[in-house]
Amino acid sequence: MSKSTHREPVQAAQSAVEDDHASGLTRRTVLAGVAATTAVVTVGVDTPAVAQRANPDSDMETFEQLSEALTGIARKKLAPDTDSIGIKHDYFKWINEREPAAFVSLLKIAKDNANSSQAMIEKLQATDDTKFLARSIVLMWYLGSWYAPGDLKKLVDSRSAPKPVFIPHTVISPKAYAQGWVWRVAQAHPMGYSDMQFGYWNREPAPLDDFIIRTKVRGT
Amino acid sequence: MRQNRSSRVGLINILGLIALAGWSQTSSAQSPTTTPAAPQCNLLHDLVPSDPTDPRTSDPNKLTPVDATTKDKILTSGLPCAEIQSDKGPAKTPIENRQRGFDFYSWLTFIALNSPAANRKGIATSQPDTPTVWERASLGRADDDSQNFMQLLDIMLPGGVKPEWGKKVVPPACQSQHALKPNLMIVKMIEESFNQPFKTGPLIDQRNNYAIFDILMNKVMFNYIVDNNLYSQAGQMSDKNSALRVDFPSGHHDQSGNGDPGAIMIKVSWKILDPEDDKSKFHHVQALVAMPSSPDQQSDPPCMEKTLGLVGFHIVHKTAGRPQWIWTSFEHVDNVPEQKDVDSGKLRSSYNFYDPSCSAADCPVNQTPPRPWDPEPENALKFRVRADGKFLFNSQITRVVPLTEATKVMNDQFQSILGNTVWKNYMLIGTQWPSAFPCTADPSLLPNAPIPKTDFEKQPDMNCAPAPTFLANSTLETFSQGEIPQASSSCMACHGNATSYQRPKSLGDTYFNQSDFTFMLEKAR
Repeated sequence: MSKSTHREPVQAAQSAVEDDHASGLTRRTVLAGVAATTAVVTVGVDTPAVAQRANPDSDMETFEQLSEALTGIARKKLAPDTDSIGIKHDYFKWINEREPAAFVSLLKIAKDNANSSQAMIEKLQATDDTKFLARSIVLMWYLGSWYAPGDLKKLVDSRSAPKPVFIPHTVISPKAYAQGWVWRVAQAHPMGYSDMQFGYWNREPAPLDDFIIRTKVRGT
Repeated sequence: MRQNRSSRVGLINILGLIALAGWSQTSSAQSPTTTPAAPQCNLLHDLVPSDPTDPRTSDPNKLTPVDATTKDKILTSGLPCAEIQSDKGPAKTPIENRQRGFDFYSWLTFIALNSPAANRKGIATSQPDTPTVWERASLGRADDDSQNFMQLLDIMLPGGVKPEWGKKVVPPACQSQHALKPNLMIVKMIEESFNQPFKTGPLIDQRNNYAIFDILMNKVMFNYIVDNNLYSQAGQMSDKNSALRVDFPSGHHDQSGNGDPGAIMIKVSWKILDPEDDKSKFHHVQALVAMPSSPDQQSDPPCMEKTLGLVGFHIVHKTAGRPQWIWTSFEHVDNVPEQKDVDSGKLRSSYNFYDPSCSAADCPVNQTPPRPWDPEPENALKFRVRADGKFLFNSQITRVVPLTEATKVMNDQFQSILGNTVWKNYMLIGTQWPSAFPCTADPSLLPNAPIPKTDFEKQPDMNCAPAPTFLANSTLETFSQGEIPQASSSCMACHGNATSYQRPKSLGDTYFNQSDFTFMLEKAR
């Protein structure tokens, strides 16, 4: 794990904050998924009185649904049935160790609103705990890095400050770095790592759907 | 034909042999006038078929037993032409179920290829020095068979000369010994024979010998290379080949077991067995080992007769469902400890590439030897020693990524049915397979897929999510073990970058020089 001073993730995070001013949900495109947690809605949420931990066995499916709603990326792409990467396990564990109470709350909202991504997104913004954790999760999937919810909140609170606030963040793991969805959304690959075919630079990129949506064999 | 199939199904039902395995090519002694041609492909797999008429089907609730009751069937079932696996089964996740299917396939393949050359159903009685199916051509038996293998350096010949199936090229320094013992294996060493991938260094065993590596291909691959004039650089660079998209034949089978194994390549690692070594613990061959040429190429390298014990065994198989090939790796059980065994102090008394008596401070693990690395003629195949005659360096290797519990269980089962043969001393390290279905079978499995069936432009993921992501044999990828993207050993992620010498016919033409996951074509001269 390494601390990064790379500007791109910071800018992405800041863009998420700027979208706070958006008038509605922006989950129309995948890139907009980064901002999908930002609409200002005030809906009451019951927060467990006692801090609990999420259970990776029983709560993983809900985490997948939540992640799909937040990122706009097909669930079967984030977590395929035959998942050789298993990054969802790493992310689940990471959140559970750092934000256990808010994570439980977030998963409850996701479970209670499993039939409507929009309702899920609206309700998770009722409290800062779930709202900013949701943003952290979006950034986690897209950038493979952890931006702590508290730091994201500070960014919002300081947006009238004369200088942008630096948001500390941690690359979760080498695996997470290579799995950041931002690269696939851009039909590209992270620096220093590529699953693309030798010579790919000489051809048009594959369609965006191949990166983020298509889960079946072409032609079937 | 239909009548024959019905008769066979009836026989299966009577005997209760629902999972009838394939027959090997030499299995039938009956009259060809009354018996249909024996199927070539082993259709046995890890689950009992749900449909008795189609051995490729799977009952997710019934694992194929691997024990005394099935020993004879499994050990004589022959070579699978393709994998049969399912995401259903008793494991917790779909990927674990599929992995078990691939690991089962790997064991069947290992058994088939290492069965006695003279009796493909006889592995249960094979001896440590019994020549195996894959060694036939290396030992002078040039029969025309898809399960026979030839060494790469007998195919990529000096001057780009056209190779002949089964013809061994004897280095000058080996010729007098070869004349006396014509059936010895000949190992011609080049840098890749002692230096590991990406030139990460040689592996030196506990007796100070270099580990030796060799690469072989089956007749199917040989034919493809010869037919397409790929055995020479000039051939690869010819105008004719400017438009060729290298596409080795895939293994396939039907429900009756008819089919073809397709392209298979093997990479082996040998430990030189000294008189002090217990030969009975290793499958071994007598070989003439020609040392690497001197850098100036002016002198013939010395040739020595050595006993070589098998310590590592990669099998790479292209199948219709897995055009990124299936990557299987076996090792000798005494090679190295897992790091966690070292940490817990649960060590055997000795290993081939690890000294339990040497402290971590004195013998840091997984280090490369001091340079220079090339074997020196005056030291034969020993690593150079210090002035006082003591060893300068012995590799102290541990396995960084442990075997999965499921693989260990399967190893125990197969080792138990291998009884007291030498093959019980080998274990599956793992099987790497492409797991992302949107690209894996695209479009090779579609009923009316155009020829060629390989999806050449494999985007966006060339390797279709290898499972497991990393796989390393402690003797063949010793110094790139681990789980760091781009740095640690992944069969497909590495071989997916392999290219040939192919060139565009005219400047600016679109061309494609991917060599279908093999670096073999780069060895053309």
